[in-house]
Amino acid sequence: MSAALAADSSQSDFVIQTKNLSKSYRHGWFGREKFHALRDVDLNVRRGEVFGLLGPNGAGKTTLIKLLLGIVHPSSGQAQVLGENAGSQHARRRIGYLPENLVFPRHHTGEGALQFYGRLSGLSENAIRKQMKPLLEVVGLLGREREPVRKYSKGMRQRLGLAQAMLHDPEILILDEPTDGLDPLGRSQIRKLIERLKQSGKSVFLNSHILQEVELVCDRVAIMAHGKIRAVGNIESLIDQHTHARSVDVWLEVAGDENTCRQLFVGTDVQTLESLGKLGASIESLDALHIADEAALQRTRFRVQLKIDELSQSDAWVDRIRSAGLSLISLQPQRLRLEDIFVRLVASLEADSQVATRSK
Amino acid sequence: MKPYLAVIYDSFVDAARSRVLWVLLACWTIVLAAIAPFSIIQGTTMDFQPDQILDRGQLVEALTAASKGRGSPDQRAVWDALEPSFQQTIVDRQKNRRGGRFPMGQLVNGLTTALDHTELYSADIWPTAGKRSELRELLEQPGNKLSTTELHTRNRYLIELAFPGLIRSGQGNAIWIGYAGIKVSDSLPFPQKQIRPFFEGIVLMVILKIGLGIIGIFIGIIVTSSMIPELFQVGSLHLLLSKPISRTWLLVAKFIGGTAFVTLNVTYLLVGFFLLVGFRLGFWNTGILWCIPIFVFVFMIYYSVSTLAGLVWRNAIISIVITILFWAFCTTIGITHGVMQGIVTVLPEVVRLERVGETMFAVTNRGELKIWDQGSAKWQTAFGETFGEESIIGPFWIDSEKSLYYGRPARIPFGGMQSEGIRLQMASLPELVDKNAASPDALPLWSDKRIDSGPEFPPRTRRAIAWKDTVVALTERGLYRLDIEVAKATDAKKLFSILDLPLLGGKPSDAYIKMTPENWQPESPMDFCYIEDEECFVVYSRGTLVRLNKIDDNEFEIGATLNLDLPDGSLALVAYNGTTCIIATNKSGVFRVDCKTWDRAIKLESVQEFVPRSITHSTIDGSFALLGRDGELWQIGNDGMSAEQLKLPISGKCSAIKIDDAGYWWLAHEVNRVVCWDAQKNQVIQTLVPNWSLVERIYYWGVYPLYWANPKPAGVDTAIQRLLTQDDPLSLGRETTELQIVRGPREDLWQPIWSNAIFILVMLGCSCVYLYRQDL
Repeated sequence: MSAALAADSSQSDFVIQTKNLSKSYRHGWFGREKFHALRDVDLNVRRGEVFGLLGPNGAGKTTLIKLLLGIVHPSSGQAQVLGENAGSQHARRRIGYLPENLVFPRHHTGEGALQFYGRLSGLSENAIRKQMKPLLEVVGLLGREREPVRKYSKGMRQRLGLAQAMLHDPEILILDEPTDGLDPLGRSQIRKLIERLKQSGKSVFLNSHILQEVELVCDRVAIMAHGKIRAVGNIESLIDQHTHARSVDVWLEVAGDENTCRQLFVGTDVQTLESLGKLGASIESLDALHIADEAALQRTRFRVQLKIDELSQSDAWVDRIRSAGLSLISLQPQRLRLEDIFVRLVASLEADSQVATRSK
Repeated sequence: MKPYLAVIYDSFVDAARSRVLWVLLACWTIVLAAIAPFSIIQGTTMDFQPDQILDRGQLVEALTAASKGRGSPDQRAVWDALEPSFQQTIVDRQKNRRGGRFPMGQLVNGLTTALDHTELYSADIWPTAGKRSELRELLEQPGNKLSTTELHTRNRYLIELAFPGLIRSGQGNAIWIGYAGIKVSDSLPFPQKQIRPFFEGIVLMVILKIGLGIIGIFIGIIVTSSMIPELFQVGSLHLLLSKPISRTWLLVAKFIGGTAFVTLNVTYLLVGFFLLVGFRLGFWNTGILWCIPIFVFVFMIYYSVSTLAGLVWRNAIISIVITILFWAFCTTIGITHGVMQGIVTVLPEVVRLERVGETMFAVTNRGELKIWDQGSAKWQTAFGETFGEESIIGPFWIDSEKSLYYGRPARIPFGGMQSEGIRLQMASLPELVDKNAASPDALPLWSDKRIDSGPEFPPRTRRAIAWKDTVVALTERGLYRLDIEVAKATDAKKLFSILDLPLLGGKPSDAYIKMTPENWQPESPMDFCYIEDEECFVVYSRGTLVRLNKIDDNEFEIGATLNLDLPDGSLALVAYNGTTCIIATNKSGVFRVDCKTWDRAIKLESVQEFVPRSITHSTIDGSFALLGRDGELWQIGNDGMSAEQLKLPISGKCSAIKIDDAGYWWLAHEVNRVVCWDAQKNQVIQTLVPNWSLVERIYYWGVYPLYWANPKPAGVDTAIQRLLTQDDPLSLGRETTELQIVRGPREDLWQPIWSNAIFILVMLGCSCVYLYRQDL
């Protein structure tokens, strides 16, 4: 590992740092075909943050985790974990890892599994005994630890996996799909656990498909696709970045004469114009609303989607509506979510790769 | 270290929780419980026991006589009481004139059948029997009124009376195999003291080699084969590898875990076995306990293969199949190598060389007489093929007859391979010494049409030498000289060896003249030589040197004897060079005896102790050449004082030596190559290198390299045998009463341990490298 990377790591206090990290596999007869699982990944995870890694299936997320743990060897590039070479025994001693689809050997009980993995992590029997009970309580397995793991549900196995990852009090936790197989309550518990870990100063590297979850717990995220990091940053800045970069959708609801409406909302800005029917049709009891103006009830409601480049353009549209004698019922700019950004990024890449494949 | 101990411990927990361990331990307990009731029951019996037969030969002769109606009436009565099948055996044996000793077990069992005969006693036949107080009461009652014990006692005494001096009287101690205190076998035909070697050498070996060595090891392989593939279960491996442990040590710990599991099982079984054998049979054989590490070691050989296969294919079934294929491959290669080694390197090995004129003769381990054919660069098999392995006497060149004489075991075609004695054969080869004397039919030298079959050598001939244009044989009854004229006259028919029927041979007594007194009977082991100056034979006979002084050519008398003070059973070779007699022993070194004074044997301190194979001397300078079993060659000065080990110009070990009349040393080496060496100038004069046959090519280019590179789990068996019997099994077959016969290469007993250990390390190394390099 280069000295530069090490110096960087100590200065900025990154717990995970990769530079031009690449991994390719050979397959086919005599390994003639090459598959690039990771390409030039540069990633920095700060101490004490919860970092989420997002990406579609086959994006290279698990490969990246395996590289960080030394389970696979990089083809090129560098990776450091806690200032140590990724995969070194020193580094692994300070990592707690929860793999995806965790399987415990069938002969273990919950307690036996924790003892076994505790010993593998170099813990003394005393330390294991001391840590075990509070951990089992935290993950909600206290009282079930003597049962054989083969009788555990998937959720229980996942909790036990989390317990073993935390047993040796690691500085960083790498959690691969931690809420997989858990019920909503379990997910909520795991989220709380991650928050507690964060509060206690631990760094968490989270790999998850569930974007809402990532949105809820992660300080920063990276989006991977086709072995490359496509975006990285905190969620707000990612949204801002993508909001500014493109036009904004604004939803309007107006009421008025149908012809006037149709004449007004013409042009490139208008995405959709949808009639919602007569205003009175949606009101079941006129008495209840004390509306006396019969004429008003004959007006038609419309929902309009406008695509505007800047929010200031919406003022001009309000003026136009009012001057045309239409009533503005509501105006709501559409806010981007992480999922939209994810879908946009991945979809555009898929399209690019399809075009590239066709052009070949 | 702690993490790896955790892996080893976890392997145990895995086995224990999956009940495999308990099932196996229960199986072993059942096996031990099943064999626990076996015991050796000692008791007294009237049945005949081997140690009670005082003279087997005479007893058989007496029975044979009785079968023909000769012998005393009581002997004939006993004959009539014997079981018909046993009678038939005696009759057949006599008919077929079979030599050799009658099997003891058969004899005692046969005699014992007469004990049940109720009508054996008759007062006319045994008139004096009633005088014996212990018999009187039993004789008064008819046989069918006696109890079985009484009947046996009565008949036993009667039989003893019938064959006085041949059977020891009284009850015998006998042993039976018992199960839960009940005798489940007839009394065993060997005494108590022999049961231990029998048990350890045969029963224990079979149980341990087949029971544990094959079945046990494969149970171990099947049980442990899933350990490595399980390691690669998706979801468990990545977690394991994320821990701060090294992959190499993880694999080694898994390997040790599996081995420890098998060790526990083997220990339980063998300690149980050890205790059972100790308590039940009284044999506290610690060799059984030493077998524990040996079996664990053999298991490790297969387990290392199973581990690599499990790593590569990650499937327990494939791993088992590959291990079984590996076992089959090793076994096939081992057996093929063993058979081919016998055919290619052991049997054709030259054990004696003889040179007549320019022609080289060789005798092989198999007992073939070979003649070197320079034209085809090949050893030609002379005078017919041999059947199986046999010992050949000679050859001797009898100059007056221009013939080569040798003795070869006579065989009965289609009648089994039992030797009927040694037949003298005479091959007329005049052209060897007389260039003008060509064969009338232009027969090749090795043609079997050249031989005349002579009379058999005297019974129990141990050695023979050429002496004054004839052959002298040393037998257990003395020295015999062949009368060539009688031999030629007796049987001058041309014979093919396959038709070498016994009836065609002349009687030994006609052609051989006994040269020594009737009362002198040398004992094996024995050897002899002739001292020309003194005109006497020197015979080594079981630790004593006996000088036979000449009265005339046909008669020698016993002269001085010299006790060499050797350990009992010492084998020795004697040679004489005109002034000094050298005696090379297998246990006490080499001695020199001054033939003039004949006062004492002086040990040659400069010669290290080794087992000699042959001794010869140079007719030019009188020095002796002493060849050892392991190919070492010592030259002893003509005065018998100085000795030095020679560095030979050959590859491999020297197996035979001949010093020709010109003083050149002909050394046989590497099975059947021969080098002619000028020892004075240290110069190779000539080499005889036969071309390889197809079988030899297959062996040297195919089978041997494969065998060499292949691990040899079966080689560990010899170590087990050594541990159990405390004997060197490799030396057992070699310790014959014949120093000149050496069969089989001498291999280091512990060599398989080293080579297999290297194999295990290589396999584990490959597994570790594979695991280290693999992206998982």
